[in-house]
Amino acid sequence: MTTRVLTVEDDPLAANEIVAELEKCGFEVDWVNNGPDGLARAMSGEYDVIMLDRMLPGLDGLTILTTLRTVGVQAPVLMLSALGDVDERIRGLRAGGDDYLTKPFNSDELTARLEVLLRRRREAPARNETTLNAGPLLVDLISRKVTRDGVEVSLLPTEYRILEFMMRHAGQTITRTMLFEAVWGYHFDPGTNLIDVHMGRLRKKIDPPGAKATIQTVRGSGYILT
Amino acid sequence: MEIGRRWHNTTFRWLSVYAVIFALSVMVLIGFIGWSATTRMEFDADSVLHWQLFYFGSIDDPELPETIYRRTEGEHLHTNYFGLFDANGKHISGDIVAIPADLPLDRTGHTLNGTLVVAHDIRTPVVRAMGIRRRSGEQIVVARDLTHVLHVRETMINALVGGGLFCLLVSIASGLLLNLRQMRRVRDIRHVTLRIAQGDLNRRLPTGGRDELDMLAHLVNHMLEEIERLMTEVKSACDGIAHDLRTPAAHIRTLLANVAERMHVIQDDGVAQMLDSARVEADMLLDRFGAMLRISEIGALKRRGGFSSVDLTTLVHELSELYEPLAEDRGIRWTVAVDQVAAVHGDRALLFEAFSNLLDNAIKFAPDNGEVRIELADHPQGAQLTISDNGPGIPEREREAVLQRFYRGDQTRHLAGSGLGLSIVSAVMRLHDFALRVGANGAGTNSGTSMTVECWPHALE
Repeated sequence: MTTRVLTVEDDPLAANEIVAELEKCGFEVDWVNNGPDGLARAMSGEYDVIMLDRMLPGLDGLTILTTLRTVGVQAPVLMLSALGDVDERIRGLRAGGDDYLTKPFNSDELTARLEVLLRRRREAPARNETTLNAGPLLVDLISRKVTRDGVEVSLLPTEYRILEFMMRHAGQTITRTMLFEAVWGYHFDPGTNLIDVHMGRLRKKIDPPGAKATIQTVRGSGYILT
Repeated sequence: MEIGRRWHNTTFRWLSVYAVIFALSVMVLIGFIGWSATTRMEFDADSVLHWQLFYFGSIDDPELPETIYRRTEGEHLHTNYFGLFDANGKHISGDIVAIPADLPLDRTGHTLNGTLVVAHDIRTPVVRAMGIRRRSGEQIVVARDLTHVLHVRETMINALVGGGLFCLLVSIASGLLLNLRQMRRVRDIRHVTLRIAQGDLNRRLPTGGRDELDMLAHLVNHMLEEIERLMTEVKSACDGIAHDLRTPAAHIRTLLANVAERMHVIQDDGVAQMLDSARVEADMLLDRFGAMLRISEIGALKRRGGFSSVDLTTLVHELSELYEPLAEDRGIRWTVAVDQVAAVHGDRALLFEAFSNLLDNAIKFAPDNGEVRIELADHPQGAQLTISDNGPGIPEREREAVLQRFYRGDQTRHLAGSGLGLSIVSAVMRLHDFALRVGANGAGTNSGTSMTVECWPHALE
């Protein structure tokens, strides 16, 4: 079964790019270039994820989103906007958006975020998990203990938070921006180097010399834990 | 400041000149009034004396002593004195005992100051006296007391002097008061001008009153409006360019990424290298556009919409935790000194972003195995955050310039960066009304940079 994505975007260039990128990833993409049509399509309920531009001719993104949530469409919504400030982001998320991306964005960033949204939807919402497991790694969420092949690894609070986030999204590409947003809670670009250094510290602790690396760098986009 | 003192000087000089002129004219006026009053009173006394002598002249010699005696007796208030003397000056009748030595008997009035001796040996005060010699040789002296007249004159002059002094004082005081008001206006204007010079173009000079200062203020305000309009136009043109170019730049980046995926078809190391460089450049381009738009976004934020109470102590700890690994990676010594400070009113996310820019710079400019120091101090006026490094430092003449968009120091052109980091910091500081001071970390030319953020309102300064 293919994943169906609805893109509501009025800029044809950006839309073409999104469609091309998502089709390359194996999604089935429908593109609508105005608000009213976008709302009608989204209401049909046949999409797994909806990408919604904030500014649209006819009907703006926030109104569409609010309407969708009111009539009970639960598909995850990724808001796209040229407005990057915090107020806009908060408004988008409050209206029921699941994630927010500032234009123009990196296509890797887009696919990484969509994957996360889809996975969250596919898997049932977290039952009262107490442990996370990925390959040789085991994280006890209650005692905050981390073990690799049964050997305890002691981590600093930040390192623990990075690992927990990576474990929760094991097998998915996580971009640096996503990591920075999730672990530190801020929405600006802190520079590639900074996140790499933190990741380097974590890797040094969880991957003993010679052992298979659990977190890999995805060139040009981010990291993946396998 | 220079402007202030000059103002003071001009007004003060005017005031002094005015006071001197006023005092001189008051003195001349008083002198004239005194002189004319005295002359008038002497004239009056003289005519009275003249008429008395005329009366005595019409009386025959034998009856004269008796007449003078009666007149003397009738004089109860002692304002008039009379004396009759024989040809040798011997006293015959009347209360004047002797002819005053300094009184010529020429039928004209003379003022005698205490030289007229009357009966019972009383020396009279100032009198007006007149004497004649009759044909028979007898001499008559009549005198009129001027004391009460002088008294009136003195009172009048006193009143005039007092009134003049009072007027002078009042005019000087009101002049000073007006000057004070004017000085206050000049001071207000100076404050606003300084703020405008620092880049706060929203401000306007205070207006009010309809004088030349007000006219100038209106003119300057008009000029500022025009400048602001032009600045906004330039800024929005820049933002428009950044915004419009950002999308094609993003497309280029995507295209380059697509090309990179197909590189295995070509198998050419040279092309691969060029492609890598092109991707780096494209990323840099996007970063710069991003930073430019971010500055505009911060500037356009609805003022203080997202403000709340921010605990700087935890904020600094969080920042330190985020950046320490980066410093450690390059062997940089990391020192954090945090005082407990009162919470500030601000946008937590923006402050974090601004401070992280400062820390990022400090780490970037510190040499390997150098030192970066974060200090949060409790200053009397509020919290003060200082971030210092021991890098090349910023020459004094460049310290203002580093806060401008795109500025790169001469010595730091080789380092990566958009040249917009400090502009973002400036924009955030402006939004908060905090001040960012760029200084040296200790004395000496190569002692490093010290960035100080004063977390208290500076608008009232």
